[in-house]
Amino acid sequence: MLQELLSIFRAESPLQKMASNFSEMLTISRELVEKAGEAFFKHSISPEERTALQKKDVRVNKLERRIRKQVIFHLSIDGKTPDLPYCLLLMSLVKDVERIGDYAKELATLADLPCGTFPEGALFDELKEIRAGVEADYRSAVEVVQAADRERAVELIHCGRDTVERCEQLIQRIAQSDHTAGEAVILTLGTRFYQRIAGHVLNLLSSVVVPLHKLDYYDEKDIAKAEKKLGG
Amino acid sequence: MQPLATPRALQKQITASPWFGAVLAFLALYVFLVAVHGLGGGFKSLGGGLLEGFFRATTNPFLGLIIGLLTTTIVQSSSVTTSLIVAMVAAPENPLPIANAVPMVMGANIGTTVTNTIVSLAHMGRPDEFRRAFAVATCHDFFNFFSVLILLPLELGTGYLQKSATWIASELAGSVEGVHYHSPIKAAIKAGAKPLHAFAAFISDSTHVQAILTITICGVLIYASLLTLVRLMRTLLREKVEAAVSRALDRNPVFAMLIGLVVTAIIQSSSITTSLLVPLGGAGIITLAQAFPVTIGANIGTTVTALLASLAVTGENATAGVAIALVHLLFNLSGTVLIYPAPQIRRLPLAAARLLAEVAGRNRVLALAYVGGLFYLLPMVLAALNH
Repeated sequence: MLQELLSIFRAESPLQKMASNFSEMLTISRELVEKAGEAFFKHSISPEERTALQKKDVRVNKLERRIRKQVIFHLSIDGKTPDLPYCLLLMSLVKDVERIGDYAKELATLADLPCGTFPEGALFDELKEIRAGVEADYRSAVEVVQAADRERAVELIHCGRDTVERCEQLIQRIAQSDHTAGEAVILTLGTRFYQRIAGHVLNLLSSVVVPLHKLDYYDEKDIAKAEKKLGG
Repeated sequence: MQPLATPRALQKQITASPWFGAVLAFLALYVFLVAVHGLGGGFKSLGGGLLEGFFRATTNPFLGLIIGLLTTTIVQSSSVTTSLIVAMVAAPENPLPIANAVPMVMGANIGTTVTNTIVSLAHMGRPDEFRRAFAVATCHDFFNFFSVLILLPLELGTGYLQKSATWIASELAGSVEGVHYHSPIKAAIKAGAKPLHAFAAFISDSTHVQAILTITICGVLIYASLLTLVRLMRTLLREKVEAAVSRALDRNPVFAMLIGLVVTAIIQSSSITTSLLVPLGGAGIITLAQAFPVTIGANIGTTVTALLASLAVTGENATAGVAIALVHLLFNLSGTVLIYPAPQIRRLPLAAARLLAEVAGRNRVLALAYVGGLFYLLPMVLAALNH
């Protein structure tokens, strides 16, 4: 008990704790997206893989609750105004990361969907490219958010918006395609989940570029302002 | 170094340079000890006549309880009240009898709970939040009510607190018997008190006036130095306090009590520790059951101030000063041992707090009536009637 008491005096600051929990949340959800993508495109998922994915999702959800609790705790006890924007930002961002985890989990469940034949062809290849783009963007976004790299954030926002648009167009093409009902469901849901993941990644990136009250919105003026400031 | 024009500037200075804050804290502590020491000298010079009426009144334990309660609710600090009591009990001449002081200490314990109850009133605009916050605040009230309800009659019947505390104080004093040790701390405190007496002598030749002036200045210095000390420690240890309270709420009750004790002993204010729990309770982050052991720990931790004050007293009644400080500690320990371990008894103050919160949540005017009536109006009326 004495050790525990003494460790309190060596404890990291509340904001550092929140930041490190958020960092862990980002890392786990990124792994979740990549593992879920593997399972989806293999069209199979072993019981161990499913359990591992569920554990990761549970961990992400737990971290969300922990960070929210830490934020309320910190603001209630300390109430320092300078900490308020960061704390409110975290309350919003943890929601996006948790949703990314949820969509990744849903993506993995499609591997078990009894659709008859698994889709192949141009539309499926298109989805593979979207997957590669989303995973690369999320990997970069994790670094960008932690480093608050505005220049890179603006670049990724452009990529992300293209990805979202690309998903929208792919769904249109699936609707007009000759795929069976089962294949179309898999393709559409897979596309939709990647679209939502890309959307939430954009929300994360917006925190680096736009002011707090405009979080999750992409005011062209703000993006242009950020580009101008960066000399772009 | 920027001018320390405002409290905010001072706070920034302390945050930027913790050593500066630590030096200020030691200074505040020194002023506190000097003031307690000076107070004893003031009472000595006042003479028995003026104090007789006060001492006669406090022979009524109920009145003593009310005096302790009212003083604390007015100055918003049980530490100030108990420090004053220590100084009065240890006064070289015309000391306050310990038997009279014991109920006053108990009253101070009750009075200090008003602060976090007032804090909970900030949540009145949102009923559910207010119910939770008010319950967390008033569990402290009910713990002390129950403690006094049981222990005051027990003390009046057996004198167990006074006897045990006196014995311990004598043993502590007796352990250095035969060894002539000139404490440098006491020498420094005595030296610090000299200017006070010199100032009083400069203002007036009358011993009575000097005594009243000394008592007034020392009273103000005790209040100001404690307030400063509390604020300094809070600024210096802000993050550690948050970490400590956060850790306390996730662990077992004994650890939670220990945290409440240590945090309060360091920042020198149980009101701050218990007030931290109120918004957390309001937000639903902590339950009443989680807040309770931290509150009890804070109750014990606040006795450190009276013990510190007893370090400053000298003279033939110094042991009595230590004894009354120990009474404060033993009272709170007794209350903890009586109420917390048995679940059936522990449930009582929590159930009372929940019930009161439920009632106050439905009619928030009752909450105001509870605070104003129980902690201010009723004691004043009862004191006046008794007088």
